[in-house]
Amino acid sequence: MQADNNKIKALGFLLIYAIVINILVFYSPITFFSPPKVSAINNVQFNTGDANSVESLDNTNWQATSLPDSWYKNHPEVDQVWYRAEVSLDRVTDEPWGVYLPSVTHNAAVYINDIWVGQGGPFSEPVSRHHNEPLLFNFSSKLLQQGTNQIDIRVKAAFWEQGLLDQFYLAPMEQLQPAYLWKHFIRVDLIRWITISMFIMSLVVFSFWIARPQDAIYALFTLELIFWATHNLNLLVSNIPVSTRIWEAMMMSTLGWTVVAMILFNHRYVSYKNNRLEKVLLIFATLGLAIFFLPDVASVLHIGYKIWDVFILIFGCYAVLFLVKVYLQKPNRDVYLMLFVGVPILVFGLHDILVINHQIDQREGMIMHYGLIMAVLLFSWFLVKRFVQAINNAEDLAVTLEQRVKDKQHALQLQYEQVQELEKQQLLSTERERIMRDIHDGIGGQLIAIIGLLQEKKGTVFVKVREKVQNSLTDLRFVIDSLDPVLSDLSTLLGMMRLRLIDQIDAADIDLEWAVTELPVLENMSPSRSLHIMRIVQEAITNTIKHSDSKKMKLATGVLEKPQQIFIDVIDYGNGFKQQDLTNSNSRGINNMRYRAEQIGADLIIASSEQGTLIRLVMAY
Amino acid sequence: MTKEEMNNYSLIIVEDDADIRQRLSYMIESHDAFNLLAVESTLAGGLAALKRYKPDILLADIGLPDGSGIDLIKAISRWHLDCEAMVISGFQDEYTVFDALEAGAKAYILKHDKSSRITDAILMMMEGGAPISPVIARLMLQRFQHAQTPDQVVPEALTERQIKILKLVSQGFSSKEISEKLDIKYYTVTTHIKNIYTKLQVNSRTEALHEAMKLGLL
Repeated sequence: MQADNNKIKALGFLLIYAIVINILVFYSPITFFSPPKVSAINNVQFNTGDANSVESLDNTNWQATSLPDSWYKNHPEVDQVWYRAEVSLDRVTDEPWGVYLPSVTHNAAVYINDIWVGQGGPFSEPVSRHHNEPLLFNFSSKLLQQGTNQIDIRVKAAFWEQGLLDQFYLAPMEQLQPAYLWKHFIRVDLIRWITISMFIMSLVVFSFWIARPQDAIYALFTLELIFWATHNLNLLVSNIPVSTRIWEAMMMSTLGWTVVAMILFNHRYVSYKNNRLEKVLLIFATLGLAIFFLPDVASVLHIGYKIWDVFILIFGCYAVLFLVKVYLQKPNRDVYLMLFVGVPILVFGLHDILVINHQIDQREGMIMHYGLIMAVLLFSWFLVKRFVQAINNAEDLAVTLEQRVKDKQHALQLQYEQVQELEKQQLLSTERERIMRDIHDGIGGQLIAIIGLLQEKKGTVFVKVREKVQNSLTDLRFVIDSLDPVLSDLSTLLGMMRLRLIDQIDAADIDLEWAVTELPVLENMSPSRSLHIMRIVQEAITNTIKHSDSKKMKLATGVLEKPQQIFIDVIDYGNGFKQQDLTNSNSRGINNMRYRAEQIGADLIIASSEQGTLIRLVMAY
Repeated sequence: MTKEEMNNYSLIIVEDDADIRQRLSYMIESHDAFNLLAVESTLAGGLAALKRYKPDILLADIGLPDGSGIDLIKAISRWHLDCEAMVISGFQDEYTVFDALEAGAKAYILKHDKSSRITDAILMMMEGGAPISPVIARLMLQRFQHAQTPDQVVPEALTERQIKILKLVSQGFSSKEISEKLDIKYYTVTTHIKNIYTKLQVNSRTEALHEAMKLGLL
């Protein structure tokens, strides 16, 4: 609901904005171009002769009229009109004087007291075009005299329906210039810079398109800019390089193509697809090119103004309504901004169509191109944003890709290591089997056979030998166990040790308390580490059997939290031994254990009291 | 007690090493509980004896000159014989024992063990016992863990109790200690171990079927 309310509010604001623009355009309370502060000349005589100089005028043909004078109703079917005004001057200053024509269509030449003082351009076809540009002719004050002066203005229109002369001014240049310069700046200089900017922008956007040809929106905007900038030339170029007919046809079609390109741009910008509609628009714009083949200026203008422009207006309305629809479906700042700049273009366009069809004072001139300034700025910003975003996305993608490649590499590395580990284990296992086989067939079998032989023999020597052989066999088993990958699990290793040593312990009539727990996997577990651990534990157990006089012992393991360590305890509940015995070099077993603990980076703790002895092996994991 | 009144188990031995064969034969013949039917030294001989005598117990070595003792063990289930297979294991032979267990063996003996321990082990098996070592328990855990990957067909998974028992075995605890630790009967522990052996065998057979189907052999 909240979102709906916001949408309605936003569109309501847009509607008010559209109404304000309409009022400003059609009922403007302000005069944009204030006239010079001298009295205007509007009571004139006119003469429709086709004379090309004052001298050749047919002086019998003068009629009175007042300015502004739009020919299409006062004197149809003629393309040239001479105007004559008589101005009475009280005082003529020495400074340069001038005649200022704020609005004339299309070309004018000015004569002061029968002396030519200037003209817009050539009068022969194609007639020089100044419908957008104010004209100011200056001359020496010497041409003027105190009292009555005669001003003749020759005006020629490229097509009679367009002919116009607005009221004009005779005064010292200094008084005319501000009004002229201001109007010239707004009508010509500003538009010139905008047009140049549009051409430059079109190159920039075109280069975007070259960089990202898959993004058609850049090509569309390039075309839109070129069409529109070309259309603007009608306001800037006085001396056209082609015939009036071709020129007008070009202006019509560029306007059509601009609007079509804009609609296609809008569709793409909001990711909307309507191929059929776009096809219709393109066919329309292409068919519109037929205007170039019309026989004369009159038919170009009639078809252009009455039919072509109406369609363009409809398209313009569609473009705005389309954006409204998109906005209603999914409110979005970009679309709102597009509407914000789109509405004035539509209103200005309507104004211009009314002007050329004489529904609005012709002197107001064309204004649609002013609406485009904002649009061009906005769309350029959009596209730059889009391009930058595309680059950013590409960079992000590259980063992601790089990361992925890294991850993959890492995974591969891991896999490789795993394979290597497996291979190593495989190798170990093969090696273990080979050693096992060797021992089984060779030394192991022989040792077992010896034990078998000595089994039944009595006598201390035999018992001792058998014991020694038994120990050798156990040692052999440890060596083989150390190679077993399954026994890299420490608790299983201890479990196997129990199996190997149980006969010895039983023989000593010692009760073994077993308290092995589950243990974390030790890093860097290797056959040599396994063997060292086994030897240390074995030594501790053997010491208990040999020296403790205890009938009870315990093997326990556990995990320490901080730092992360595990321990293996061998505890006997025997006599204990004195501390000084430990430093005695004779206690070879203990030194041996210490050495082995050092080799595997483990701590060996030995604590002995009358209650017994604890040997603790501590290792990090 | 006469021979007939004792538990009397018929037995055949398949072992290629003459010394061991001799030692085992002597051991079995001199024990009242057993009735030695045949002693063979090859796979072929073993298979023939198995078929002919249908013994209660098969004592089989794995490395035979004309093949693997595993095939002998497999033949028992193939021919639906009521026979318990026992592997004669050499010095440090856990992996071979494991393979035999997978094939359906119920226990193993160490060929160089004391005579008393060997006959005890056979009797223990017949009374429902199941010898196991820490390494075998660890291999067993690995086997079942490995089999629980998604693309494997595992009709028989281990129960939590069975996993717990295997873990304790792998840590070196005896069946008696385990029964005390878990507060269950000694007999229950050995039954669990036997059941684990059966599951192992079932899984390995299912896997073999699965593999065969994958290869298009079935």
